[in-house]
Amino acid sequence: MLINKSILTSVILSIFLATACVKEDLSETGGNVHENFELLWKTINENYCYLEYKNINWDSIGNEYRSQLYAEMNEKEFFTVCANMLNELKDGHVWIYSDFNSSSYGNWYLDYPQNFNPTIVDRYYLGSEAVWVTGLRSNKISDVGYLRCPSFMSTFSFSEIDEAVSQLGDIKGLIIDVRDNVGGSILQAHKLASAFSKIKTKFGYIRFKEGPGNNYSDWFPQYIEPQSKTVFDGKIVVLTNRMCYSATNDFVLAMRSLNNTTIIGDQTGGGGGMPISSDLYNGWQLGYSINPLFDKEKNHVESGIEPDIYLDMNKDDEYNNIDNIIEYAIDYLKE
Amino acid sequence: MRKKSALIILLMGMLGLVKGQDLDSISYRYRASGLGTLSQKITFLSPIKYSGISTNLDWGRFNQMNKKITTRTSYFNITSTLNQKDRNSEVENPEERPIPPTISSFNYGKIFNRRYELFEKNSQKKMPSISLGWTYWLDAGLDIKFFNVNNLFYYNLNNMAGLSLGLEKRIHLKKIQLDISNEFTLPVLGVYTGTRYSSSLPYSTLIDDTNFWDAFRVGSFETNFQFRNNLNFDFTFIRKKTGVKHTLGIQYGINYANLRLNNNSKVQVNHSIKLSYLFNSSRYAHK
Repeated sequence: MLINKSILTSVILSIFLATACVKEDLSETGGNVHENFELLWKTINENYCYLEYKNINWDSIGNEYRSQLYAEMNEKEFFTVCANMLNELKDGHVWIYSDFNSSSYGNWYLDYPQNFNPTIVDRYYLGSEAVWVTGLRSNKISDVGYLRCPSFMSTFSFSEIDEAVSQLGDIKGLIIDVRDNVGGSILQAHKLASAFSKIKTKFGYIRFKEGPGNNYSDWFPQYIEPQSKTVFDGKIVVLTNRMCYSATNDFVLAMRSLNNTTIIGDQTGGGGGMPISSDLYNGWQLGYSINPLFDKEKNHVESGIEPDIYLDMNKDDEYNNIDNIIEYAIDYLKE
Repeated sequence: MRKKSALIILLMGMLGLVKGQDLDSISYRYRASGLGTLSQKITFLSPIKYSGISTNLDWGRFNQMNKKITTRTSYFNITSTLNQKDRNSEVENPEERPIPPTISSFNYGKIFNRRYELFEKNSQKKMPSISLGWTYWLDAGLDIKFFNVNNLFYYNLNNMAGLSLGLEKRIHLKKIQLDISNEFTLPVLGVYTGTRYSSSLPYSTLIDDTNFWDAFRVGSFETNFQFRNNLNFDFTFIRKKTGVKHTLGIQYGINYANLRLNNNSKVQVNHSIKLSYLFNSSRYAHK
């Protein structure tokens, strides 16, 4: 078979052109503790959105934990170094996990009283008569509506929110209990808040990270908007504790913007940064906050939202199966 | 980049060599499918390079009238890639291991090429036929990394215009006619849209007060470099029993993309070997 030189030349040229730009990647060369550590440090350094707000000297923290590395350390020791370094960010939206362990900062709620007892709520305030629509449960207690939303992970529609409230009949006010709700979908949180808004209401801002370092988008206002029908437009109390985190923090922020709503309980846990995921060369998964949320005055909500009325759970009442925070809210709405 | 610019200027200059000549018209359609490898690094999803297996499907048509060549190509690739350095696969109890991080990629595209043969056929017998022209290339990509939070997927939609270079040479073997051809497509300018740095979707889909068109960027190969090269070996033979002519082919293709949109980077290299069949050919043998 005769293939002349020009064909060979053109074929070789085209293959050369086609492959000339393929570069070697660092991940092909290893994945030792130093490379993984540097990738972890760099990922946070370039993308974590609260380094300045929390006044964190990430260079110094990096040096401190870098000095703890040694070549022979096993994976579990290395994991501990990485987890401890990430805990310096004091952010529940920062996590690292491997097959043998996972770690995320938990002191945003562990350092504070629980202020919620799910057994008491289930047995003595919801009971078997409660309306149960998707992830929402509701009951009528002393002429006041009680709506429990334990998570924003479940998906509910406006009509389901309407069902959960309208089946309570005539009520003098509505308690929305989001204690121990650690979040989920921010869209679900906005949907629940929008169900109680009568006009389009601005409740905060979001900024998106647009590049490494201090590179953010404009301030984009966040709204809740009325739906075809407002589910309930009387007085509302939202019950909060330190385990109200992430999307629930955003829900509380949105509800706070409504004139007919009062927040009662403890400060929320925060989690105002929208997190995204990443990974390391060795396959460990990583998460961190990247897009910060703000209130109407452009203040960060990462550290939580203060209630209008601070109230802790009374231990004696709890012993007698009474949730004094719900009782207070009922009295408040009946006034 | 200067070398690339010089190459393009040279190729465009060669367009001036195009001269009219009457030839038979040639047209055929083809389908090709095969397997390949893909390695990719999509910083929005992961800073790690992922690699794996791709399945590739191409289909299109070829038309030549005199010296004018028109090709239309569509392609669809599905790929599953893993972090090959994931040490978690070495755990003692693999049955307890969660599903390893995977990036699944879907690529769809359409390419329209219009080329002109550059040299007189008769005077250049030993040379392959060379054609040069322009291209329009629509390339859409969707890359999904399951279990990511808020950065579940990366998308890009590229509308590009550029150059197309074709080479073709026919060799007569004993009972088989072999056509070796190569098609190289290089975008020069494009309008691109892709995932934002920290958000899968354009802001306009998330926030009321934003403009849909903000999602689009104009770029050149200086910032978004992409090409596609297909080397084809088409074997034409006549079946003794029926006397019908058949053309089967083997195609080696490379798709390369180095996209830098919204401070994200996507580098994707796809090598594939495909088997093709030409059908509805018209006067193919007269070429």
